[in-house]
Amino acid sequence: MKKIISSMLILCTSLSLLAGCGKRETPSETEVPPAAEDTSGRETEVEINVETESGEIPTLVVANWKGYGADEEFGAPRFEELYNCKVEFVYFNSVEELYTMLQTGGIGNIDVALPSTVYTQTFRESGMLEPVDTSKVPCYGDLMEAYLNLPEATGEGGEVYALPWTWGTTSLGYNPEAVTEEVTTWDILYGDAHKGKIAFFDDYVTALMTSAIHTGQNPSDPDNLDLQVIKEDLLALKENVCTYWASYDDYLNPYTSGEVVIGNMWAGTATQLKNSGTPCNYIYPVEGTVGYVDMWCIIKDTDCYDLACKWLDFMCGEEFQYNFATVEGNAHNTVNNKVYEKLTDEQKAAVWALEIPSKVYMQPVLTPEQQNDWLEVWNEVKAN
Amino acid sequence: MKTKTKKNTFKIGSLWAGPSALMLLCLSLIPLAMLLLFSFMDGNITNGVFPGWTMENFQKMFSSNVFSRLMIKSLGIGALVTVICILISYPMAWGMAKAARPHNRSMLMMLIILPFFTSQLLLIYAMMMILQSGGILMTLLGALGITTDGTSILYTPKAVVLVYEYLPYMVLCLYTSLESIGDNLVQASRVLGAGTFRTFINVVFPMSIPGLLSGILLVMVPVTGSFAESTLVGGPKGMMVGSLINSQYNTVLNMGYGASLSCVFLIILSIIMAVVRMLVNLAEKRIGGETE
Repeated sequence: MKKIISSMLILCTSLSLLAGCGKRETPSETEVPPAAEDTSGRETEVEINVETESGEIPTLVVANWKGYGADEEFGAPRFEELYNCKVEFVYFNSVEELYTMLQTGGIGNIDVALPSTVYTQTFRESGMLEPVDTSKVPCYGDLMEAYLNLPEATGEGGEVYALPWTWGTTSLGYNPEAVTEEVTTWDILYGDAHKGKIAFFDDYVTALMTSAIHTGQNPSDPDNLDLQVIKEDLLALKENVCTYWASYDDYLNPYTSGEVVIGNMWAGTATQLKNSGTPCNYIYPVEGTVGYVDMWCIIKDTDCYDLACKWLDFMCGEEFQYNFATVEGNAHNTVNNKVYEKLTDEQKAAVWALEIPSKVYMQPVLTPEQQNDWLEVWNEVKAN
Repeated sequence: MKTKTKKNTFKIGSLWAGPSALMLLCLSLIPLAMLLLFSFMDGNITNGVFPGWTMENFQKMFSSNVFSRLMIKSLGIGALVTVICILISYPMAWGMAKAARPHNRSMLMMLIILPFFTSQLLLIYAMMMILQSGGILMTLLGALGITTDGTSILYTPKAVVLVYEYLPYMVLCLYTSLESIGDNLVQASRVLGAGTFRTFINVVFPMSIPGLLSGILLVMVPVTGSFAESTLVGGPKGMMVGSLINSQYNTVLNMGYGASLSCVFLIILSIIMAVVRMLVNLAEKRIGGETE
């Protein structure tokens, strides 16, 4: 009951926020004049006047995680400066929340959003996305081939529905002062050597995928997984686990206090730990690891489509991507080839991308039935 | 004429209850009705499409042993936390009501209420800092030679955190009951030859039962339904029924199943509340309302 009331309150707050995002212009009024002809003009100081006839500047409503790159100084403020517009953020705490937000009034109010790969397909199939006109995104050709044309983001007719922005992994991180042996495989979590000193991600998709990798199954093929084997594997792992974590803080606190010395973690957590002076290694086990790609999408019924395309171009373009990949203390992997070539080995190592992992299993698209089945397995493991 | 005046007074008086009744209707009765309705729906209604009616949510709940196992576990933790709170609260409340000087009572009361001034999450995080390896408690125990370096009791005893959170409710309920017991009754008991223990059993305890049962209600119900504590400090075996319900709403957006779990959970807690209420009535009858 509390959840329903909370959801209603969140919805009302979100709609109030959106309603207060300034007057929205009609597409003709907000159309952004073409950028400078030079496609690498992202490094050029380009002032584009998009003021409407009434003198009001257009507003782009962006749905994103709080503190996730786009709202950095080199993000939205720089975009506003370049395109003489205003960027309003609507924050969400989970992609499920974003989905609910869009379904309950966000469409028509939110212009662009950042779901991960797995949800891009759900959003696309629910008719919540506009195809991206790649001719209006000059940086499109610079993006890494591996993350373009992913089936989740591609329509039946080959339309592009989302552009990759950053990629990451939930792989194996450990304290080299406490874990002195060579770490190459997920098996290390199952032995007695670090029993009671392990943290494991409390996310049913990642948990089941990691276990599937460990048991030699293909987690990207949810139709052919043996859930019983996975359940038994996770129950065996549970005996060694100290805590299940769900956020940065959940991991950082026990790790820094020494209660946890190894576990699966986000690459970003490992980066934060290392930057704070806490010893941390982050490796990609030989069996493979779980990966994700965060993608920018244009939301259906946006009334500033061209400005949304500019946002995608800016977010995936050279200037932002370089800053995003090198920002001190919170760097992220780039999807832009030109930026990757520019990075020094030290900068690549800072985001654990000196070597690109050979076996990365992206989160698969699950049907609602599969979601329920997977969650049931995870809940059974935790309740046991 | 007199009857008419009475009737008018009643009508005007009942108008004052209007806003409260409206609030009760909007924030309690309608959501409860919605919850019951959603529990028979096949999935999620947030996308505006009616998903259809089904009984599968309840069938799934009763066919899987996850809910029953977690429900029993949660009730067990609720009972354990309540018992610990009672054992700690009785001497505290008695000390405040009878041993402390009257002008010190307000200060002691303030100390009890102080934790309410901050958010529940902050209280949990504060306890985590104390219980974790290298925290105040573990360092102290280590210095006394009771534990070794690196030992921690965090991620195991969520009951400790729950006791800390809900202890003030029990203390306040017991304090109210104990304060209303006249000193002359205790004195009379002693004059008639009863020792401390017998005075407590025959005089103090029966007269504090209403406050005690109110405290049980205020502690056991929220503890049984709690999920933040089990998630943050419960460790791998800390899952409670609240977490199961939460996962249906926030993880897979299965509103129908989440609502059916919530409904059964509410019914079970309502039965417990009804039993507690019955005991309160019995206790009040037994002591003849002297504590009022």
